[in-house]
Amino acid sequence: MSNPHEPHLEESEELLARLSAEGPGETVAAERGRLHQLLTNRDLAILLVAVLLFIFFALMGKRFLTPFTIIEIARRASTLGILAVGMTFLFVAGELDLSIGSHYGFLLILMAYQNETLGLNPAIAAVVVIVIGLAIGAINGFIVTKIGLPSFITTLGMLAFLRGATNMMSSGYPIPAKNTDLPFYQIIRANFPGTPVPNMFVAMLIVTMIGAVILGRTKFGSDAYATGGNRTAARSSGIDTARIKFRCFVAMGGLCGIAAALLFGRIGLAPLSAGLNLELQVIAAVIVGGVGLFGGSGTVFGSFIGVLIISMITSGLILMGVSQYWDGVATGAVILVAVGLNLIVGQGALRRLAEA
Amino acid sequence: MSEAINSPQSRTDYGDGVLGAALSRGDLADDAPVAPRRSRLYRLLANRDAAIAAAGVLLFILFPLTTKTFLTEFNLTNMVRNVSLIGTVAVGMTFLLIVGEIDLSVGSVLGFLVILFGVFDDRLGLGPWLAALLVIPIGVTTGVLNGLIRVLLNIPSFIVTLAMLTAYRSLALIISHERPISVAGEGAFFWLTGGAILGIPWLIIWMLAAMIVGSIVLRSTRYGFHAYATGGNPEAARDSGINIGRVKMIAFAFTGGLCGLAATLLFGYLHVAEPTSGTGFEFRVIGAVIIGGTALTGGFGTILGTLIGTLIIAIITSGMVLLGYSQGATDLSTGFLIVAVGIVDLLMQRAAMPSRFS
Repeated sequence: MSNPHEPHLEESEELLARLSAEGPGETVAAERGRLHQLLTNRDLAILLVAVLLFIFFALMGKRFLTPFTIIEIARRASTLGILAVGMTFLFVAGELDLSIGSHYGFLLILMAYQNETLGLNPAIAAVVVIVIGLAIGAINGFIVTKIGLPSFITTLGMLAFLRGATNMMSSGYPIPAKNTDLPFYQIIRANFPGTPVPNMFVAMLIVTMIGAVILGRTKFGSDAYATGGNRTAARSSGIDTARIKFRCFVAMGGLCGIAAALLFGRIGLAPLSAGLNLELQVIAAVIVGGVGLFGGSGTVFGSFIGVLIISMITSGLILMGVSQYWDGVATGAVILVAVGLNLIVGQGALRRLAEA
Repeated sequence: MSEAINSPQSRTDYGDGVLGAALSRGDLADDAPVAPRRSRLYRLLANRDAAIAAAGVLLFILFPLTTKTFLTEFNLTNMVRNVSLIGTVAVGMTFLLIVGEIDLSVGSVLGFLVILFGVFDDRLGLGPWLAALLVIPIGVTTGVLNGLIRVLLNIPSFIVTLAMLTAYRSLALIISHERPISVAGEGAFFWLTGGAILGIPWLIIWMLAAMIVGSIVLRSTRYGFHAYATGGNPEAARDSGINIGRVKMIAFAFTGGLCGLAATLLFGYLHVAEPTSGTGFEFRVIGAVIIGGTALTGGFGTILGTLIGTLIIAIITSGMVLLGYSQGATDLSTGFLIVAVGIVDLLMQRAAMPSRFS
């Protein structure tokens, strides 16, 4: 079906890519201010949605506004938030990773295996798991950037492969951790000193902030936007797009390792179905957070708000007394509404930018 | 890092944009000339089917060498029956990939429809025939809904069906109150779905029927021609007067209908509807279609390839079980095969079109 805005959109996407690809320049500076404004506004809009949702749930569910619930939402958001940072990088660079749910589940089982069978200290196991996560990310990145297989197929294959490997490694029952009084578990389960905020959430905030700085303030970040926005333009301005994408995949793998190590530290066992459909939740959060589907747009902050929205919906519906299974319907609806709004807002805003 | 392989001229350049490759391939592959290399294209497709068939035969020879029970008639029949639902829905998925779309919601839709079937048959007491008559059109409706959102709102099908994946799974759990619905059915309906004729399970016959219909439509009808044109080069297809929105809608509706058929067959075979049935089904279906050589980029693919892809999954599943491995080993090999076939496919495309990879 034809879309009357398409030509505009393509032109303005090129403009956007040029803006971020050219780097600091005098002519660009004025427009970058506007671009920055635009992105900030979009983030603000998403934040507004999150606040409204929070107020809605606070009014509807009596137990929503209790410290217990809010901390539970924060915990729920931790894993999602860490993975969403990596997914934001990939989306911005114009790729995606469907394998993260399996990847996360596989690394969790690996944590448990090292802990139980090999008797390793969990801190060492965590390092091993993060390194393996990076390596699996590198394999994805290699196949996508060097061989040229689309990331959708590559990571779909990896999804099935790792899910299979997880099932083969697990003995059919959750493996509990030994010696849960080790400092590794104590630190992860504790709250941040002097606050009721769980350390898991603090870890997620740190990862999010590092991600936001890298994507928003470094050359790597602007190269990633250029890569996803318009690869040909990016390449002709000297950006090694393959390397950018490769690094995004590696980062995603490392974040899977961090998330798996943290969850194992908190719950002390590796559930069999861990990470099942987690990739869908993460992609939903990133999309709700306003990250563009076609690369070159989105912010880590937006994704963070998206994570909070998805986590609130899941917890909020349960507290309203609705069957917890409605969260799937709600999540689906939120994805469609967010994408629809994004397309409309994005097209309008981009057109204004192109005309300016 | 060099980009020798991944040169700007390469066909892999559609990888721009997150879902560029998977979803909007049509929009980004506009520069691909279709008509001049049609004869070569056809040869390529023929070769591809042959190559995949050869891989299947090789597996088929390898497994009997390692396990004695593989080649018994019981196992061969079981082997194909176990993948017949995958094969049935894979026909629709082949249509979707050819027109440049994808449906991730088929597993959830299957679960949702099988629960509806249970509700109609058992809780409302309508009987299985009426339930089937209701469930298949509802399946078509789910497909039409996907297609409408995709085509009218211009949201990529990956996202639309991702949202539907979560939504229908929820609905299945809500409607069923998280409990399976079972019936102790007897009679013609259950024979026609779960039974067998002359030793051949009806499930296999239904799958083959879907494949034959799909194959005829793709090869010998106007719609089939339009489908390849739409996926291969949507701009050109639109310019030559093809209503590509309609072509895509029909592919979505067909897939939804096949989910309805699969739900009917599943219920007839198992006599039970479980809210979790169909979990992970979408990846097996897409795996079968991709292993069968249908390109994710649109415009390529055959039902014969999908049949072979389905059989390869069947061989691996049975072989792994007979060798003493779990479902895990099957998933692992399926994942490996998806990537391996994708890479071989890329290399074959490059070999066939050297001029595009200077």
